[in-house]
Amino acid sequence: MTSARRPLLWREITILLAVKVVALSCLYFLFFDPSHRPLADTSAVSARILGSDR
Amino acid sequence: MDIVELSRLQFAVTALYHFLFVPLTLGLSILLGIMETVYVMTGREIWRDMTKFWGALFGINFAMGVATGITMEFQFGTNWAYYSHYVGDVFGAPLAIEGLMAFFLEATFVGLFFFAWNKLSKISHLVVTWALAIATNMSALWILIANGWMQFPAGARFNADTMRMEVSNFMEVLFNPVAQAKFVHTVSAGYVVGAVFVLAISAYYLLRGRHVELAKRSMTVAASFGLASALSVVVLGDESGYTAGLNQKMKIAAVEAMWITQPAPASFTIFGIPDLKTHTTKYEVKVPWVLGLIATRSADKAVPGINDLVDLAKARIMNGMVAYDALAKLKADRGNAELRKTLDAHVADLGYALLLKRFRPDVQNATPAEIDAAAASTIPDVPVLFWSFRFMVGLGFTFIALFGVAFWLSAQRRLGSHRLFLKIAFWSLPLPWIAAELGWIVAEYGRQPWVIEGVLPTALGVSSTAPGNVLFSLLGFALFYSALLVADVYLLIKYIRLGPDGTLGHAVAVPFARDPAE
Repeated sequence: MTSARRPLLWREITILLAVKVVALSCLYFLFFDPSHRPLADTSAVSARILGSDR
Repeated sequence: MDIVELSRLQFAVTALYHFLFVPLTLGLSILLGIMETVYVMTGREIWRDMTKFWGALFGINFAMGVATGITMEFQFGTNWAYYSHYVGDVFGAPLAIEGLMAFFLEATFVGLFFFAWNKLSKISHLVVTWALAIATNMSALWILIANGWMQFPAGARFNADTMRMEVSNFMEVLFNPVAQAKFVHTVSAGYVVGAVFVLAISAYYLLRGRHVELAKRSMTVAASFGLASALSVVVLGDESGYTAGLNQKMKIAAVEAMWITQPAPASFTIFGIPDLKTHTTKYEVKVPWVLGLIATRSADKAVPGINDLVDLAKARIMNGMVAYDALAKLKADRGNAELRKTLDAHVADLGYALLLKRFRPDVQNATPAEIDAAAASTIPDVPVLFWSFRFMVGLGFTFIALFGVAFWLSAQRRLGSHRLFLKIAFWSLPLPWIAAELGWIVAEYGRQPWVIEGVLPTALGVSSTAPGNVLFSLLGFALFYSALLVADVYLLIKYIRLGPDGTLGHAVAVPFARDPAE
């Protein structure tokens, strides 16, 4: 790798990281943020199996 | 399709796709270790070039394996949230260790393998290559411990307060006999995939007269390693069948399409047409004794048939209803010691009572007809299991024949000149993948209707999310994975066509003197 090529490499790495951050953020907000999170705690499992937690 | 079927389909698609890459990684990692060991022991440069060339193909495959494995771990949270809560205390630990093995240990040694050829001594690099192979196999061990627990949930007990299974004995989880048998059977199958891959690509080169020295040596290694692995797969598959015969009797009966309990020792059905409506298998061709010997390792123990197992399930459902009733009452009266005692006495069959949830919400009031229907639901898809198993076993014996001939030709020093065998070896390339996928179909489809055998029905493990979400992500996976497959096949074909010279950027070193593998 020549020194003339190095600035271009840094630019490529920066662009790649930025694209990754954007892609992962999109995935998080589309599928994994709290509003998408299915609730499955003790109460929810009780409700599914027994009909209620009481 | 409902949420349960969509979630199952998504996991099946991603798991079967992921397992296109895993066995090749397992097999090639050991082959790389063998090739580099020969290089260090003999000092012949060609063996280093062989390690580097097959290592480049290993690298492409490894990256795909990691990328496709991650999505499956996410599915436990997104699509199987109830499952994750119910068994997370047990299942979570091996899954997490597998993740750590894959991401930290394997990734570290993969980096050193590729980038430290000129920075480490010969011996140090060899240690790295073997550490990579061991880490890869250990990663498989942990995921198979997790999967083995789904087949035989040892070392855990139900906690009524937290409504989940919790670890009672981690050693029993770790040394679960089903997991141990699955591990050795699965990694051996991976070694066969790796050996067939090297054999087939080397045959391709020899048929075209390209890279002859490298291809001949590669075939020699693949022939001996493949023969040992193919024999191991069959022997260890027998062990896997024996553990299933002990713990998953319905799976064995379904694989055999054996509806009625046969007198000991049971016969093995080579051919037949299972009829789900009449509970019979037509046009059976049987081999006496074989199933009894495989499933019980004895000549005097019976292998139960499907109809008898359904009756047994009926009894367990009724026993489980007592546990279910006690659990429901315990939720309203948490300090009642009598209820807790009743639950403890019947808790082993609680899962069977949960099979009734498909038919009515108040399980304890199920009618005899609903109990019959729930018991009948314990029968998996018999024809699929019957034929998947037979094709898998047939392929297993085909590999023994393939590697046996390869080994014999190698010993005769005719491996590079027998064109018919080279053509057969090349066209055998897809077969080990088909066998491996069929193996997983038998293992996982045969476990239905359970996600955890005898503990949790599959339908109760899915998340309460909209089917549209699962369908959307399933279509996304289909598109994304198709693109990945195109990229993977393109890269593999590109580097195979380039050959070792083009891939390594220099002509492969050819020894002047003959070496033992020539």
